[in-house]
Amino acid sequence: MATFALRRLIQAIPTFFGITLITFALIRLAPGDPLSLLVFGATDLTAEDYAALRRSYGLDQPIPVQYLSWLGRTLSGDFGQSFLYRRPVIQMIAASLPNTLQLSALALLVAVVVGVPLGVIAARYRGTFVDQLIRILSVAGHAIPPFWFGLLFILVLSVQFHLFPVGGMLTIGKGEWDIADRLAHLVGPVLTLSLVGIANYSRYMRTETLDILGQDFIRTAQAKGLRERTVLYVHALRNALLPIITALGGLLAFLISGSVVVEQVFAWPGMGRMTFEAARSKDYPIVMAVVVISSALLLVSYILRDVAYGVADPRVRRS
Amino acid sequence: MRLRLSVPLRRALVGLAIAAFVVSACAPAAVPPAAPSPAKAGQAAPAAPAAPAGPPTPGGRYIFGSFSDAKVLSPVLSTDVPSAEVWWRVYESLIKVDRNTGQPVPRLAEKFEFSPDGKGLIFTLRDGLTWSDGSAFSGDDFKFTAEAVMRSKKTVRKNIFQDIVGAREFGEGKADTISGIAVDGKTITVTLEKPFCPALTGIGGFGVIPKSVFGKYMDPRDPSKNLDDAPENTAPPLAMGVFKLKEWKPNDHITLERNDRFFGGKAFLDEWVFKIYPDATAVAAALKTGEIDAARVEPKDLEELKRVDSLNFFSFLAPGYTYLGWNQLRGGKEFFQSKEVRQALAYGLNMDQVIDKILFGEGKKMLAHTPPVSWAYDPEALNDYKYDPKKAQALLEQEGWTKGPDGIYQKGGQRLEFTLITNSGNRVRETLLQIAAEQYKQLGISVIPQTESFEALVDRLGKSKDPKYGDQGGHDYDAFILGWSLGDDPDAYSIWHSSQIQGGFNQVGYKNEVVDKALEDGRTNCAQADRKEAYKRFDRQLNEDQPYNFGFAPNTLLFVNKKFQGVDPGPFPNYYNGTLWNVEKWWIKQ
Amino acid sequence: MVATEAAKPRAVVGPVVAGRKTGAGLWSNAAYRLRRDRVTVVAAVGLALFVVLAASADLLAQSFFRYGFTQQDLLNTYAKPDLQTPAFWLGGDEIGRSQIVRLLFGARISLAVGFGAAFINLTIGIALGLAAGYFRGWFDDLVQFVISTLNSIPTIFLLLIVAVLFSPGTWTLVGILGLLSWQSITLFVRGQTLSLRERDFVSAGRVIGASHRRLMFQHILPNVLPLVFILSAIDVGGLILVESALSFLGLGVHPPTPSWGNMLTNAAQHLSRGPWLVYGPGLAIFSTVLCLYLIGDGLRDALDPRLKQD
Repeated sequence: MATFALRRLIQAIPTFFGITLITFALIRLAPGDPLSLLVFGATDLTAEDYAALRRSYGLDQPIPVQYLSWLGRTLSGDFGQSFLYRRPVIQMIAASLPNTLQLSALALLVAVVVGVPLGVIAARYRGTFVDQLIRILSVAGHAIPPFWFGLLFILVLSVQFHLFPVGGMLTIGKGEWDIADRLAHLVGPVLTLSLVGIANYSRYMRTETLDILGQDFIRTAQAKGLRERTVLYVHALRNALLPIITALGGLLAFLISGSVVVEQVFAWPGMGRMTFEAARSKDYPIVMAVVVISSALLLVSYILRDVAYGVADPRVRRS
Repeated sequence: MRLRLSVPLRRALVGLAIAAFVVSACAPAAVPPAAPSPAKAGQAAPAAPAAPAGPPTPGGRYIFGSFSDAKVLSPVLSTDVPSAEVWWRVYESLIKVDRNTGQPVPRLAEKFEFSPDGKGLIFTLRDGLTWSDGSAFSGDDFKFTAEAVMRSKKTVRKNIFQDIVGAREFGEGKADTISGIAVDGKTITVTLEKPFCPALTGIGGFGVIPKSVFGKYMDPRDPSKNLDDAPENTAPPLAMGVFKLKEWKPNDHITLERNDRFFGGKAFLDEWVFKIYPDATAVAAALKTGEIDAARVEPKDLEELKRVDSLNFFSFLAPGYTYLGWNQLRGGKEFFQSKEVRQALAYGLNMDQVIDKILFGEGKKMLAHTPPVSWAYDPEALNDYKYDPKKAQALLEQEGWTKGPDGIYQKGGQRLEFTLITNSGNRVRETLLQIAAEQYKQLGISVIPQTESFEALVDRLGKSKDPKYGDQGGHDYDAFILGWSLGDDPDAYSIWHSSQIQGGFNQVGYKNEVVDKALEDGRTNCAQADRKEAYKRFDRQLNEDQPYNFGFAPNTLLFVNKKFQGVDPGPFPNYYNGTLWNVEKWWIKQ
Repeated sequence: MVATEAAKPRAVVGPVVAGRKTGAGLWSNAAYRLRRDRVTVVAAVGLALFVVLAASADLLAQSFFRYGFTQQDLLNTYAKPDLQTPAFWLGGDEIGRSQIVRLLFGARISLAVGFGAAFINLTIGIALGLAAGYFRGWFDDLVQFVISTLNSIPTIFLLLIVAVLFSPGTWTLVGILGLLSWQSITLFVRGQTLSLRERDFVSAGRVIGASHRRLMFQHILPNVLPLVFILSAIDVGGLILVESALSFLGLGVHPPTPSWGNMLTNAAQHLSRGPWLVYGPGLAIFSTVLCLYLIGDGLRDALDPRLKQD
């Protein structure tokens, strides 16, 4: 097992370097000067001043040199200073990443907790109205643009009916640990973010459950006289664990991606919103750090998934 | 995963899902629109300050909504409006400008003078000024601020101080102090190398930072040391202003708390909060729900917010304008060099209608550069270029343009056609772009509308070169829509002087001797009457030449919850202070 | 949603049924089954209708609605839906443009973005997947490496960077979307190819000395292609959603070129004054994506009846 995990880890190293290369190349080969926004509006700035500015940000070095020095600093955990916010990037990520993880983890939880039983129920009552309803919701969950769902949520539930806040993470004046307040702020973004996950899991679980229900050991269990509910929830669900784990990796990638739009709609002060704002103003250090860190997170989650898979199914390890 | 849907189910699904969508989409509209409340009907003009009923009660919190976060809380380093809006609550300057006229008024300095030759500035500080920790404020803090700017490698504010005698030498490390700033007790004397009238508001209006905090990052003898990376830039520990920093959660909110040692008397409000939303629509929604107390809004949200009973509406002209610039140094588009063509472009766009429909009347047609709210503005003898398509066509035809078979004017085989660019994301500009393209097309001028990111456009305006006129400072675009957000002083040298075509902000390649002379006079003859006369000459020439279609000046549209007493905003300085100039006097009526 | 990998219904299709030697029988069987599957037919008709409307946008605008897609009427802003005037059946927007005409032109752009980008990723995906699965070895390793690298970077960040930094026009955007979304198709084609190349009918071909090209394009490809189409139908839907999300972030198709995404975003901005503006683009996106998903679904059922268990 340990060697399997190690092998996976070693495989991830070149991938990580690939990520840094792609990120750096994309950003630095783009047209436009990162300083142009910074100096816009500065009348009477001389060419020497400008050159000094470039030097102070290290932008006068050849591109490969910039890459290597950036990579070196990145590997040692130094992500530099934000162009615009003029503070260490790592400090900004440390402030926003937990907020995004909070959102993603809850959305993931909701997706599993709502989606899995929905799928099992749909399978259990296949062909009935319940099954159809669940399927309708699941296809609709995919086809509605999430930003639109979020905007409607705000316009109807927040603006018209005052049920939830318009945006943000806490009400000004309420404490960081005011759970009720925090939950009220979480409902909209988590629901919007988990829509697709719920849809995915319910459809996924439905087919898995149907497959498993058709298999011999379930028939045996039923023949042994176990109650149907026990058979369904204990045996079928346990066997469906593997696919749930498989889907987790992809879903995490999706949640990180989705968080950009959802955080933007709901003014959630997370990493997605920060990155979007940074990308918009060409704040390279932030964008590069976020891409590298979130990619590393994904890589780790893929490895964990594979290892978990290996634990659950020994055949994987041999391949 | 296998997705399978039985036939009847799928039929049901399509119907039901669509129905669900329509129902939810309907909901916001289903609420009956409230009739405009009669009490608010007359509030298009700035409301008079509400007569405070009873004695002010201290306490409470003011939450201002913004769709852009502050970046850095330092007068030396910040370049954006949200940052300035926050740090101006924390730091103070020697003088301010009057919120209604833009004329200098005392602040930390109780007296200020400009010497008759335009080269000397004398400020006299008030008595008993202290920072929020009780330490004394002195002229040394001011001098230190100037020195910090000159040594900074990441500031864009050097132009404000570099004309002071000895400032450049200090910046380069050739001197260990700026010789042109002398501090003697309460008197600060600044000596300039050459007369420069805007220096009064530039230097006097610069936010002063504490030497006791930032001094440790500088070394008079070592020019490589500067405060650029000081953590205090994002977390100022000392304040001179009405408030001091309490906490900053990036992309969420910034909370300031009352500075009990503010020289104008401590404020009634306990806290001032700057809360961040992703866009203007979200800010408007938060205003409606009462999540925030005040915000500046976009015209499109005006009607709805005016119906909210708990909000007071203030509207006043902002010092700035949105314009269409015609590039006179563009190979192949030499028709922009013709005054008649540019005048035709002015007559041919119905700007009053644009203001009426896009700004919902909250704006004013601009005829030249100087903002109508400035003391230097004089509308006398400015042509108003009232919408007149016939006149526009006559001007073109008089210049030898004839309509081709496609309805577009042409002359000598060249069609009257150009690309008009603006930055994406600014709705007012995008809309103006689309309207201009359509109205000019009706006139017989073909306009290709194009949008690109602000950064790309800025790059293009500043760095690109036109293949034909690049050496003269011509850039790679035909025409563009952008806006100017103008400072307190009427000086417009960097925008309109012909020396600013190369590397400056004269991005349309406009060159006129009358304008050049007027701008030079406005910088060197500092008596206000002289300056006013100079800017009158300048505006008249621009009005005649129409190097821009000067577009319109938008109103600042501000909503403040009615419970706040003492709110009395004005247009100066742009944005951040015109509203909050007297925030220490605000109080909440329960 | 923005991510492509998990966002769309995962059409994980079982292994291709062995024994089918060519695509011909498969296709005719499928066509027969498809005809009987009325929902898929309805979805296909719906999609075809959108395509026809989009294609005839110019004609309709000129001869029926008599209103251009950039034509404005500043004296008639926020026009309410009006059944008397065809151009304002769905109302007018903030500068008096016809919503229905813009929807037609928007259909053209949105569908072009979706299908164009899908065409690009399909081309790349089939070419790379086929080659990687067939030749294996270092080329396969390289393709796998690039895919795992790209898959490790959250798609939205790649899109953000590219969209912000390159500020693409409509066609560049299509290219970018296509170039950033080929991984799943490649992996799928590769997997199929890997298993097919060991099948009897391919081995037999190899024994009688068929060229690589012949084996790849005449033996393997026809068996892979049908299943790829299922994936790509869903892909097109996903890409239309991605464009709308990018538009929401201000990075999609730029106005004044109408796309459903930027129309929807614009409508959201003007909801207080013109609430009717949201129905058209919202419904258009929703129903088109729905049609595409249903078609993908139906295609799979039709092509692979063994998967239809209940």
